[in-house]
Amino acid sequence: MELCIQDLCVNFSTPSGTIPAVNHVSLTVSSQQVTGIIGETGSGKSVLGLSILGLLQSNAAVSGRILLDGRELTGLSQRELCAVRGREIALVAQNPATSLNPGVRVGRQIEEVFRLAGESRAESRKHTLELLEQLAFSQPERVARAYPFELSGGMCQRALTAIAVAARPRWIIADEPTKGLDAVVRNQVYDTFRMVREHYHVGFLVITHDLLLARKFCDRIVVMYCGRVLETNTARELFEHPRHPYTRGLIASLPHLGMKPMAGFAPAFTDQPAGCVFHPRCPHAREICRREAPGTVYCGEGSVCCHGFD
Amino acid sequence: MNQTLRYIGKKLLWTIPILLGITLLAFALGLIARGDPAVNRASADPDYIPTEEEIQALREELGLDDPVLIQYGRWLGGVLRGDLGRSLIDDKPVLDELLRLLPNTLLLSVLALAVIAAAGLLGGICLSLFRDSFLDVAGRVVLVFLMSVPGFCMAYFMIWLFAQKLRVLPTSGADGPENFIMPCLAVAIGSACVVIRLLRSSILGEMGKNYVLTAQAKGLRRGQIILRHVLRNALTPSVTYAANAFGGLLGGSMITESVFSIPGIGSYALTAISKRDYTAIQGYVLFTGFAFVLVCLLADLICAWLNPKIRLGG
Ligand SMILES: Nc1ncnc2c1ncn2[C@@H]1O[C@H](COP(=O)(O)OP(=O)(O)OP(=O)(O)O)[C@@H](O)[C@H]1O
Ligand code: SF4
Ligand SMILES: [Mg+2]
Repeated sequence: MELCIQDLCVNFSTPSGTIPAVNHVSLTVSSQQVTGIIGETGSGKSVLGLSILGLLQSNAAVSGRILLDGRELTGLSQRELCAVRGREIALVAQNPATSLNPGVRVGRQIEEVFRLAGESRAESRKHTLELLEQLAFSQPERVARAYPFELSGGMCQRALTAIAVAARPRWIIADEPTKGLDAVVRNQVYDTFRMVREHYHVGFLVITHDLLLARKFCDRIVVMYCGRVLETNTARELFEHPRHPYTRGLIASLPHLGMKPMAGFAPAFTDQPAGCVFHPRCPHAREICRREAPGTVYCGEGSVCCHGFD
Repeated sequence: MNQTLRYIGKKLLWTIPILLGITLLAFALGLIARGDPAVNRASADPDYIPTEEEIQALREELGLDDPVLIQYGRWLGGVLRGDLGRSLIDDKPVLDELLRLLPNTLLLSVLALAVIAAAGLLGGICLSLFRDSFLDVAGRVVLVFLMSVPGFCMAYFMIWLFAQKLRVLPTSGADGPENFIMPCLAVAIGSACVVIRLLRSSILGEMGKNYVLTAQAKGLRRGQIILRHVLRNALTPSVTYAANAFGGLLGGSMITESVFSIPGIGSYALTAISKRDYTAIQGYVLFTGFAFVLVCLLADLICAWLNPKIRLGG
């Protein structure tokens, strides 16, 4: 099964100008592999993920195509998209604590997905408890009766995963699943995702800052910066032989590799540099980098977007 | 469950000092305003001029020389036994009069609350469902217009339209349900418009929250999301506002009741004020204060039911 993104652009119109949050992105993701999208904050990762589900705010203008096994999602009506969401592509949203409804019991929020799939109330209750147990909750009944604010961040994260898994989708998009969690809980998230992957055979698209999770869990990595894909490769190759200077900077900032933060800041979307977007921060920038945007070069299993590889 | 009960208990305990405060206020009002009751009582017969001794005897009989606190205790005891005193004008027991007029006011207020709740919910949900569409924009203009028309103008307009032109509704009295249609609309429309606007804006505010994204990603449609997820979180300000409006209506709508000649608590208070019938005013203040506190208590409990964090979070 394949998710294919072709020349996707997302432009937000705001009072301070147009924000090209996703800029000519083309990607093909296979559900055989777990794909990770990494990049600094504001690089357009969440926007890319949400555009697949057609869940961007109303000020977004989307162009390009998104194909799910050859079926175009970009042209679907809201009603048709509702049938895709949850059942074919599910989302584990950013910020587990606020991504659950504070006024509804956790069990009800999971049951709702089973109910939408046409199950009776009793069936959906039973399946909810089974699912909670499978997701390593030791007291499923108590968790089902709890409100989100009575659960810890890690538990909310697993409850959200339960919601995503409930309709047995073919794809799960997980946005920052380990953000704000401590190391032990981050490991639990990893274990949960492994279990879901093995048990349900879903395709995973993991959006994350957490390079350690990306390295452990993902087979393939996409590196984004300023709404562009700068490099893709298998996870092993990417972490062992990063090609793009930006990727090298990201990896050098990892704690066990010296924690050297990358110099400079990402430019504002409303004021992007000409040529290569990364040139103001790039240690290898040349004359041509300031003038011309580099094209994407494919080599081996990966691709890179840099003049150094022309 | 335990926490919920504890929350309700705490709320109930809190109303006790508030209610006591209201009795104190009502008592003080009587104390300040009514002059010297002994003189008033002794000179009830206009042809007779009482002597100083007679007044003093009466004063002792009425206990007016006792400390204020003891007088308050005695008065409060009376209140608790259902004795709000007698009207200074016609000597009828105040409580009996209030209870006799209550059904009309109660009917008017409950009908108005029903209109406010129904219109508020329906309007608020529709406008937020079709946000920024023609319906939404035009609807909001109409709401602002209706909100800015005073209730009595609405009343006169309706009398002109329904009673004089179309001749479908009676202008005054409280004989049957048809008598209550216009008064009810007159007092309800303004508040209903406020609730519609409040609900619309709090629903749209909630729609921007993260949990809505989760609900959308489940494959729920906009209407389902509003009804099943957003509404309960968005209702609190509207419930509080509607409760305030209802509490106010229970005290009687003086203008509307007199425009439509409905014998209710509001018109009773209006008469009492114009005739300086302080015992009656005192009883009225006490009654409306209590009604208001109880309605607010009820609103708090509804909000706690809607928001588990309030009732469980301590
Ligand atoms: N509705 C919107 N209107 C205007 N700008 C938006 C909107 N949604 C997102 N953006 C902008 O798009 C850019 C990309 O945002 P996005 O959330 O995709 O970043 P991200 O890579 O997920 O970052 P993070 O790691 O912090 O989650 C940001 O600069 C953000 O401000
Ligand atoms: S194109 Fe030039 S500036 Fe951009 S990353 Fe490559 S070397 Fe650096
Ligand atoms: Mg994000």
